[in-house]
Amino acid sequence: MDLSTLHEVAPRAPAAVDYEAFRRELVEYMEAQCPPEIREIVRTNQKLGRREWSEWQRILNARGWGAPNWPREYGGTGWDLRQRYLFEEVSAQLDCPPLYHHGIGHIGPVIMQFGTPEQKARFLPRILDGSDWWCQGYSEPEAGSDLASLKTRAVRDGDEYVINGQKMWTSHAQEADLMYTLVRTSTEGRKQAGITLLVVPLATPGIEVRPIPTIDGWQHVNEVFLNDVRVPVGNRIGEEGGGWTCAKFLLDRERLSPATVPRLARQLEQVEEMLRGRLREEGASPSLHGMLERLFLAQASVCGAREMLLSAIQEEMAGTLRSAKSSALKLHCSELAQQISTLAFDGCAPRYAPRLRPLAPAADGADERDPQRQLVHTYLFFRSRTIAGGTSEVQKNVIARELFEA
Amino acid sequence: MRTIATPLFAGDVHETALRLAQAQPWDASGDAGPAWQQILELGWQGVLVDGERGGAGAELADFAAIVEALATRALTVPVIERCAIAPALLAACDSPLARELLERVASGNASVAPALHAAPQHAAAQPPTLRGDRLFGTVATVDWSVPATHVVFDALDGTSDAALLIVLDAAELSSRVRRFVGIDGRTSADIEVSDLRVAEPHLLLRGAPAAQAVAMGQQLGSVFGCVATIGACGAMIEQTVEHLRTRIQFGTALATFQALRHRVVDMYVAYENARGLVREQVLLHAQAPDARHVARTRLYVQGVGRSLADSTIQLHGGMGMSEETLAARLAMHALMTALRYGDRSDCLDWLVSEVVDEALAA
Repeated sequence: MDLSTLHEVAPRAPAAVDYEAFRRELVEYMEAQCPPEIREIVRTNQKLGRREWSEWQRILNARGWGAPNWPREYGGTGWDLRQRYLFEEVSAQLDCPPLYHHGIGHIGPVIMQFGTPEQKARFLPRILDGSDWWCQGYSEPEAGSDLASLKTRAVRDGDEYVINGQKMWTSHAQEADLMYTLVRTSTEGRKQAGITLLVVPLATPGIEVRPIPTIDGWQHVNEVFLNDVRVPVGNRIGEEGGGWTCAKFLLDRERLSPATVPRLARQLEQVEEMLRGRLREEGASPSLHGMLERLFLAQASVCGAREMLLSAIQEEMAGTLRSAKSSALKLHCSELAQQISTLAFDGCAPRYAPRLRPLAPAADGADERDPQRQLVHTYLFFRSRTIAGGTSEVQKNVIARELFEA
Repeated sequence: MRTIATPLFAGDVHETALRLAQAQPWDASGDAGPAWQQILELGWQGVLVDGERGGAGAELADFAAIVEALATRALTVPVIERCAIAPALLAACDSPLARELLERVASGNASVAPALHAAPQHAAAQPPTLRGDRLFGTVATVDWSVPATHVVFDALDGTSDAALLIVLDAAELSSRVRRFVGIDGRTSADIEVSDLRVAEPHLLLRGAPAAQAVAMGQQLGSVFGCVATIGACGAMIEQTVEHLRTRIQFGTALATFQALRHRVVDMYVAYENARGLVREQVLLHAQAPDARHVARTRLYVQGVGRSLADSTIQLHGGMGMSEETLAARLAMHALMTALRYGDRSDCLDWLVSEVVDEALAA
């Protein structure tokens, strides 16, 4: 995607910022500092783990770029929207890892908004430098889309909360230090009113993490069982009963992640590269023409999504963003991600779907580094895009409520 | 009426055009004359013409604001043709006749109807052929919804196959015109030009400059056609939401049925995405026109326009079949704008050939 177009589609910026120079600075730094083995993992669509993410976070933070979306007072960059978008775009184009969303994107801003000064001092620096790794304890076996029905109980006992219950679909729990967790502290009144946000160190006695095998063959989601888990009251973010407000605040930001669209654009470039390779090798055929049509449509759709995202962030900053638009963006990008991954899958599945997991992998790691094999994993993983973070059907209900005012 | 659509380029120009559009009563005969007269009085034929040629020298975004606003009422005025394409074609020529005509267009004293046949992404009809000083063939699908003083069109040199750009007085064509009414109520004309003499001054461009001018005109038509589709789509959603909120069936508003609500949401999400794409396209085109980007945008927006038109008709039930319903006219408007200046097949074939040629040459 041509970065020069950002001059026109992004909001006007202060004249003092030289964006071309800024972009060059990003390119030079990322090319020089992002370890080649990490870029190779990203380029070949392999599953990223804490090791790669935290290493990149440490490097970025050393440069002062650990949190592009945070204000300077908390150690962020204070960049404007265009700088943030350029950062994400260059990062995606150079196959650097995206920023780890649970820390920088999700809980960090929640702590800034609702946390005490002590909590800010305790948690934010360790998110920034990658020392602490976070996961999100929201869903439960009986509370998925209907999150407010969650049942995991936290009972106050002196200066502690005692937690009992089960969380589900908890991404990265197997490698995280801390879990920000929605728990029920009251069954009185509206069910949303009895929810509280707690920070639970995963090394606390009484916690068991069990992996959930998923269709994509990657390990990333888990069940987390909490049995008489004790955490100090000081680990509560916001007021008791104020967890739903925190959750909604987080969700609104999650839908406006500037990283989403550049990553889709990069993936589409890989798909185009794959199709061009097939054209060179096999010549033009009706089926390849059909795939090219889908490619063109996806390219156009990514351009539209980019403008949608930029205008939504701009409206958010001006306080005029409608929830219908942010939900529309989430809905659209989720489905677009699936379209792109489906196109990739159609191109490489005949060869790789039956050979997804070699029982005797090549000793030099060549199987893992094969981008087309990983595109099959990605296709399967991306089925979750229209489920996680609010299913597409829930998003449609949210949008419809606003469109119809009822 | 709930406001759901966001203008591509909000501002005074959009507001003025919106007021003009909303003031036009629907006329079953499709007479676009009263609206067009106001457009001439407002000087919109000269809005994109340079100041030194008597125009306003406005940005493409300003003109897009006009096109979008007029499309929200499905007005069948030839604003894209007469206010954007024809002036751009004339501005690309360096002849005294073209210069004079452009100034008359900018002042509203002439109105030039364009017809483009041989643009690379739009192979709708075979252009007429010039043999010696005589034309043969048909100038096809000229917007004839309001009177024109001239027709500008592309043709082929019968000897060299070179592209040509020709302008003729409309008065000398009147006996050769066959008129039609299209699905959106717009009047167009096929003009039989066989054995018609072309005087040398009327041959505006020849060869590569003519081909480039035609391609440029076609791209302008494509971009603004997409803008019109977005205008119609936004209005279709607002009309549909209003209908579902007020129409009572089975003792309750239709808006309470989840199946219908979700279909409207699908329309809205598609609209927001296409709107972003088109907004970016207008800004890009002003900076550096890119034929592939234009074709890709058009390919995508055509699909969105078609899909929203189908949904609008379906969600309006029987009302969606009535010409008297604005939503139905908007649907027809969206369908028709998707066909002008290159339909889906034209765009796709051209894009595929570009990529295949490039890949095979690598």
